Amino acid sequence: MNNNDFIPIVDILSDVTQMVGDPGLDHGLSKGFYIRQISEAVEELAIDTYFQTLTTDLEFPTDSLILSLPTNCFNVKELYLYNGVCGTPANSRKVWYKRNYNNSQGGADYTARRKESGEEDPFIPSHADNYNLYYANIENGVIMFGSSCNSYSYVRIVYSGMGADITEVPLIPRPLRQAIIDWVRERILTIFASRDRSVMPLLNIARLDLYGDGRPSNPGSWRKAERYVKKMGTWARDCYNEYQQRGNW
Amino acid sequence: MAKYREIVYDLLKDLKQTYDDSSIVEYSVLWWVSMVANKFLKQHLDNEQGRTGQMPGRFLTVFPETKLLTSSFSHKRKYIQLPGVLLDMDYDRSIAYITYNVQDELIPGFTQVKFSMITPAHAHLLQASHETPTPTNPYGYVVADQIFTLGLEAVDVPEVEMGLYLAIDPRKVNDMDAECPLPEHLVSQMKYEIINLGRFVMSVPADKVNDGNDTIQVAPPKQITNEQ
Repeated sequence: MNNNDFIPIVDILSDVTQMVGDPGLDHGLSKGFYIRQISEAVEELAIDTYFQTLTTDLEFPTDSLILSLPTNCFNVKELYLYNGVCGTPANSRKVWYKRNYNNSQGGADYTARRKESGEEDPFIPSHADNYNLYYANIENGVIMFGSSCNSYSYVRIVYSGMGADITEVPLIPRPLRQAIIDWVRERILTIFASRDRSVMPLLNIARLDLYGDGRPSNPGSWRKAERYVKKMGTWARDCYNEYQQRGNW
Repeated sequence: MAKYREIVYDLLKDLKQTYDDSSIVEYSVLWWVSMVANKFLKQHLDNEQGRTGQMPGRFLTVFPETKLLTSSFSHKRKYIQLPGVLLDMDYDRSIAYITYNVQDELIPGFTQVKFSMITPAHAHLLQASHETPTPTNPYGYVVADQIFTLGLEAVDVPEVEMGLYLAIDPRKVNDMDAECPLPEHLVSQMKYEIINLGRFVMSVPADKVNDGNDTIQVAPPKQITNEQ
C-alpha cells in the first residue's frame, strides 16, 4: 500500500463516540472496549485486504530446524535464508514450500509424502538428486525447515500482519480511516440497539455507510477500502505495463 | 439559581396564608423542596443528555481531593467513600468522572487517568485485551455509598478527584443561603408541586383522623311485627 500516513487510535475513538452518542463514555462501554473494537476492525480489514506487510529477521534454528512464526502474522509471503549480519543479508536464498513436509518435533528427521531418500515407493519416486533444495512447511504457527537450510545463519520472513500485536494499539493507514470508523460504529450501535430498539434507524444508516446499498455509486466504505488496498499503484502499474509490452522479463 | 431560604420561606409564607394555624416547620418544607428538586434535577439532566449527548456541568459538584481508603474487610479492596447521595441514573452517569493525577503537571488532572464505571457482575469479565484493569485503565463500581476500585491494587494512589451529580440531602443543608441546584425555569414548577403537596397534607379529611370516638355501629333493635 502506497502511503505512510497513520492515524492514532484516539482520532477514531473521538469520531466514533460522537457518532454513536456516547462522547462521555457513560453508556456502559469502557474506553478499553472501544479500543478493542477498533483493533478488531483493523484486524478484519488486514485479513480481508492483506494491507499490512511486515518483515522480521531471525536467527536460524540450527539444531531444531523449527521456528515459531512472529506474532501478528497470519500469512507468510516470502521466506529467505541468508548469511552475514542479522538484518543485513550478505547472500540470500529463497526458501521453497514443500507440501506435507513435517519435522514438527524438531531435528533433521521428518516425514513427507515424497522424500529425498528412503525406501523406493512404487507410486511416488524419491528425488535423491535434489540435495540442494531449500524448503520449509508451516503447520500450527511453526515453520519447519529442511535440513539443507542449516548452512545459513538467518531467516527473513516477509508476512502479512493483522494491524498490531493483540495487546497493542494499531495505527490506522489514513486511506482506511472511514472503513474503520464505520465498522466500529456499526458494532457499537448493534450493542445499543440490543438495549433500545429506537436505535435501529441509526444502525441501519451505519450499515448503509459501511456496506453500501448495492448500487455502484455507493459501494460502502469497507469495499472502498478493499478496492484501494488491492489496487496497484500507478508507478507499479506503469512499470508492469512496460514489462508486459516488451515481453522479455 | 434560587437560594434555599428564598424558596423555603416563600412556600412557608404561602402555606401559612392559607392555613394560618398549621404547624408546618421549616424542615418540612426543606424536605419537600429536596424531594421535588431531586426529581426535577434528574429529569432535567436526562433530558439534557438526550438532546445534547452530554450532561451539563452546571450542576456538577467537584471533589478535588478525596481520600482513597483501604477496606479492612472485602480482601482489602481500595474504595472511595461517597461524600453525598448520588442521583440514581443508569450506567452510573451521576458519576461524571473519577480521575487521579499521574504526576504530570502539564496535563490537567481531571483529564488524565479516568476510571470507567462498571457493575460488580461485569467486573469478572474484564480480562479481554485493552479492558484489563490496570493503574492506567482503572475501573470503579458502586456499592451503596462507596465506590470500590479495580486496577489500583499494586500502586499507591492517596487521593482522587471526583465530579458527581449529587441529590439534595436536606440533612446536609447547613446553610440556608446556599443555592438550590435546580434550573431557574423549574423553580416555579417546584413551587407548584410543593404547594400541592402541602395542600394535600393539610387537607387530610377529618374522618381519617383518629378523634377517639367509638364508631362501632350498634345493631338496630328487632322490629316487632304481627306476622305471628
